Amino acid sequence: MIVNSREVEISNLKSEVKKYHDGGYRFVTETCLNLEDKFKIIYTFAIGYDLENIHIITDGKNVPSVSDIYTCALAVENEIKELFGVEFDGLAVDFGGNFMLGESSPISPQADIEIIRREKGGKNE
Amino acid sequence: MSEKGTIPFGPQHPVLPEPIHLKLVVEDEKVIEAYPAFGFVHRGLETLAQKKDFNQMVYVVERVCGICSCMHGQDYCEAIEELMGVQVPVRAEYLRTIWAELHRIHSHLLWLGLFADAFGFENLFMQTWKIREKIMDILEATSGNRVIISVNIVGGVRKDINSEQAKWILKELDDVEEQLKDINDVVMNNYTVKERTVGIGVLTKEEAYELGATGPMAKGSGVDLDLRTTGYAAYKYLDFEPIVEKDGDSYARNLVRMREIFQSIDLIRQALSKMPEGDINVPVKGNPPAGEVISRLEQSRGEVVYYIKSNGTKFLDRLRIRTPTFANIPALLKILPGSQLQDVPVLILTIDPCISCTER
Repeated sequence: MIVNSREVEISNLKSEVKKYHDGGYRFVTETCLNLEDKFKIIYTFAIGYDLENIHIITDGKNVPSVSDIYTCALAVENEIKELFGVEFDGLAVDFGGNFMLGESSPISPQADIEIIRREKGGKNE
Repeated sequence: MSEKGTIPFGPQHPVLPEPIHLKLVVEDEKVIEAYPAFGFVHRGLETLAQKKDFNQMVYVVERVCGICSCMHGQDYCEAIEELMGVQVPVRAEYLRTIWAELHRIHSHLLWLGLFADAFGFENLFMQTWKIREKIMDILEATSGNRVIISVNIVGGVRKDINSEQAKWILKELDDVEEQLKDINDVVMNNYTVKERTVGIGVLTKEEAYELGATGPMAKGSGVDLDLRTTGYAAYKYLDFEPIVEKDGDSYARNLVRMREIFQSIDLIRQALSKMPEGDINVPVKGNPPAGEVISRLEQSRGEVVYYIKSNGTKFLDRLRIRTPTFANIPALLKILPGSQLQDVPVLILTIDPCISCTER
């Protein structure tokens, strides 16, 4: 299906996601894209076999996690955090950068820009 | 007095076919919490899409996973075809369906063998893998390869199945079906198998839906979702119903996979009998136009989601693959707490984990 995602303001993200949750939608995934100096995160939900997409545009800082609404979002949000460096606020379980990458892995390998650096011993490497 | 401790499980463990690490917090023999860690086979395949021609990427996505490689290639091609407005010939749709169902059979048999081995039933492991060899022989005879068969191309398929091969496949499938009937009774009614699976790792229908579980993990819990019913490829021409069980335990997931093997044999028979003559691909020229597309299909482990963003050149802007095992990780983390340590290997294998898929 050709993607027609609807942009929502970051401030409205959680209320929009809650509507999908309360409407019986299943969480499918989140997809992060580089947009020059920003990121686009697409949220995909399904009801039956039909998909719906919304997206936000963010600088990668303080993105509200939706894992308190859909617990299963914690896996993909941890992945996006590690591969793109996007910071999520309120992740249900934060793996601290060790979900998909190891301690010696490249930092934010899929991001065009770097938002966070892995902390070691309380200081940035 | 109970004692609490932490046990590292994996990444190298006798029952794990692929590396996954679980940090298990246990109280005596009971698992209290489980924390996963991946990344041991992370290859950055999604990023390659920005550096490889979109046609070359067919062969890259097949290497996301060796077991459902054909279906990765198919989903990727269907996404590109939708973006480019390409309609593949009907015969190609049938051929894709036949190879996909052969992959489903060998994937489920591979899983059943590993699952049996996980609780020490080595004879069942050997029997299932012996049967699986017949399917691998069919794949090799029809495509030239056993595992990564590289039959899908943008615009159709690059190999055909002639009438002689079709007759031979039907004969081989009769033989596979007979042998499967023999072990079906063992898988479903054996005391040992039931002791290790009935009532173990129960996931309710509500939990499965809420946690985004997919494939046999969801169907075993009563979630009636099977993307093949949407009619992609040749499924629109075939008669079948999704296989669903209600108990949500490891045994129910076994049942779904066993019944799906028989269903796949039936689907291949239907497809071979209905497949029309004609071209197997259409020429595709130019690059995909700028745009975004999502394509999904039902792999052996469940729903795979391909997101593609094209910029009009031969290189894609973004390829994102949400694999079924990735979707089933939250469900695994739900069923592990409260289980006995001895059941952890069985519970991990009950989701039929593909770590290469999960990490890409």
